[in-house]
Amino acid sequence: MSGFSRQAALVAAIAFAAGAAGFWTARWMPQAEVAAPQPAVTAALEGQQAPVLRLPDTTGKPRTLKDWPGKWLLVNFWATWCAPCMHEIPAFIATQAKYEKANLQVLGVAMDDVDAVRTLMQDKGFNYPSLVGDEQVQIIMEQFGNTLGALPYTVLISPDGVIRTMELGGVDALKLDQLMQRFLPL
Amino acid sequence: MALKPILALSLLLLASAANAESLLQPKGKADALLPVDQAFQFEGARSKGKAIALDWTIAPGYYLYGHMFKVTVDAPAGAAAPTLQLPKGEAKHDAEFGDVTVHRGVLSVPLGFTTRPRTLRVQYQGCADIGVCYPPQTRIVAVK
Repeated sequence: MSGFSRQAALVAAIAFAAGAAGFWTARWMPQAEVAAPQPAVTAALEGQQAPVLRLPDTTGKPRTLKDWPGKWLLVNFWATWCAPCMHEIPAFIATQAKYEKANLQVLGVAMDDVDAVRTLMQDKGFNYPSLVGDEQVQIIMEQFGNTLGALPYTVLISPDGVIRTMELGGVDALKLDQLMQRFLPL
Repeated sequence: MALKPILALSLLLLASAANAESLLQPKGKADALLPVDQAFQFEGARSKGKAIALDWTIAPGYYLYGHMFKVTVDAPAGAAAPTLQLPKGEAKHDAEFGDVTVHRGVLSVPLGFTTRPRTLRVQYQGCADIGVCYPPQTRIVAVK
């Protein structure tokens, strides 16, 4: 065997051993029981039919997603006590204004007190409706793939009722615009 | 001798292998978070003599809002709510909420009371630095 071949064989052997060690470490090493972050969103729901969402709006009228037939629904879970939720509201207002003609309906779902929600919607100049609930919203969020119940959380649903994408954490106008351009370009 | 390049390549491969697990983890600012009870470990009421304190261990990268703590007395019925002697905490400015105080790390909150409580209802709420918040939590705790 030439010197080069011996070196190549040595490199291949080390690579195999390193790969095996990495796989073994990843697969079998004991994991810490406490403080282990977990995926916060069940991405497997993408492409699946959206679960039933039944909650009252701010007037107390019971609503479901079927109340907006034929629309792309951008469902934003939020609360008045959630600072990142407050920061992204102007972006949702702008998105509703810009993409309404492309068949978009932004829909808030607040985990909050209805009076606080009504006041805030007026102060912020909401141009889209919001449903309201308390612990029930947390259960609904879990059904929509948010396993930790953290806010803000946004789900895009196509007119056929299928979940297209989900986002945990705040979004800005640029990100929402990119999302809209991807799914429902003007 | 060509051993140095081989050694360097081997080290690179070993480093890659060690990172195999993290490469398989979801990426992104909010893709992996702690469950609320691990982010904010509430350790209950600690009683020492006549004094009572509520204890939390807050995971790194998470914080509890000072203004969101609320403690009431479930038993004995009708007892006045205790006062909370919150430590100084960390000043935080939020565009929406203005100047607020947040608490991180190990947190102990002594309670002031006139009638010694037997059961407390404790509410708290916090967020992660990466920009998500957890709903307000309520725990009912016995004071021993």
